Amino acid sequence: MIREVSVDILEALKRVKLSVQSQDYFQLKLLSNFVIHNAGIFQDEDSVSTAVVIYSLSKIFASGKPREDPDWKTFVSNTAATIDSAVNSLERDDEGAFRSAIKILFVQISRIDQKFNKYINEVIEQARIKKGSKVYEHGISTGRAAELMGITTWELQGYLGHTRIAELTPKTGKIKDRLSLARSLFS
Amino acid sequence: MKALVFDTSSIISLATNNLLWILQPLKQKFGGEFAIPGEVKKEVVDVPLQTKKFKLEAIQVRMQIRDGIISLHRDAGLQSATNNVCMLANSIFRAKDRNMQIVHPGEVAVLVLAKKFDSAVCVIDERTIRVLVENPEKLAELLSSKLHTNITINRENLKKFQQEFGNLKIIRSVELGVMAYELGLLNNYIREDPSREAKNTLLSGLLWALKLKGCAISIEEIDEALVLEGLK
Repeated sequence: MIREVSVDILEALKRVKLSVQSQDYFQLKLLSNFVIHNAGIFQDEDSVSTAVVIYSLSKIFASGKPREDPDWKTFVSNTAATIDSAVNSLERDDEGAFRSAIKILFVQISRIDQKFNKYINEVIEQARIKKGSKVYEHGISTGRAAELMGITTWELQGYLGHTRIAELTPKTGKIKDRLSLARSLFS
Repeated sequence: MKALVFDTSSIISLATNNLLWILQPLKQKFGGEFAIPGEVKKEVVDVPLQTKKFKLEAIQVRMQIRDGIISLHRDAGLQSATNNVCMLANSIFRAKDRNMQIVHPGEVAVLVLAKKFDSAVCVIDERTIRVLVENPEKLAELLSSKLHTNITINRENLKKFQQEFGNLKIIRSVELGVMAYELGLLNNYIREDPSREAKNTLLSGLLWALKLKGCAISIEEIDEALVLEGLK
């Protein structure tokens, strides 16, 4: 793992644990954006999977699940414990153990999502698309961002159309000129 | 031979708006080839056929290829050239002492295929590859401002890329849509009321639909198109 990525993920996960315990979904969302920055630059699997996990947790906590449900309480404590495991692994430079911990987090999220949601893995799939849009927003192409996030271009493009990212596209030509070119092709 | 070479994003925009049907009459008017490279066929047919969500769209695109409206170009030479150009494009920008992988082989393959024709225009809805061809300095600015990091440009690689592809012309699915409108292909939608207001509704609906399905067109450009068509 690239050193800078490892340092950033470690810092983020320590704050993620606190946010999980306080169920602060807004802070979790911000932390997922922090981690996805590295995904745009280094395009490494660890930044991607960590950002997706954190964002998924933010959506789970934002969704208003019944807090008194025993399964919910178990989920919160298990998630905190798994994050501890991920942090300890990174501090020991044990990348294998870190990645295993991230996989466990995905499983824990899937289980709680399945319990309270109609659709299996909806949160994780939506997290991949959302984080993919962030990578695209950074300047990476749709195809490359989709490949990085493990989703199809179809899924990502459909989501991008509903964002304001197109308004930030650098102006590289006038529509008037493109239309003139198009007319010359079909005249 | 002249050609329009389509990328994945433009086909997705048309397919998800149920507009693939405009390709046949447009192609007749164009009098040349509508082409895609193998890498695009993989993204617009093979991959979505494995999903539930876009399987029907994939079948519809496959039909366009089957019926000869879209020609598929696939050979080892193209593949090899695409790999080389992709490596080149992905070594133009550097951040934190690393080359940035900014484009996908499917996006690059369109440019490579376009160069094979005597005269070709690319149909590309995707922002990054289009900006890379038309104004790479602006892409560097975007990367830098959004990633909050210094982006360096490998000028030699950029020069090689621009020498090869810098002169390629690009339109989007929205420009094709406007052509369909101007040629009267969409008249049936407003047959009962061909008023100016109805035409405005039709064209603005078309442009917004393509935008909302991912074509990188701004609100300002949509308004400009409507003004240019005398509808606003």
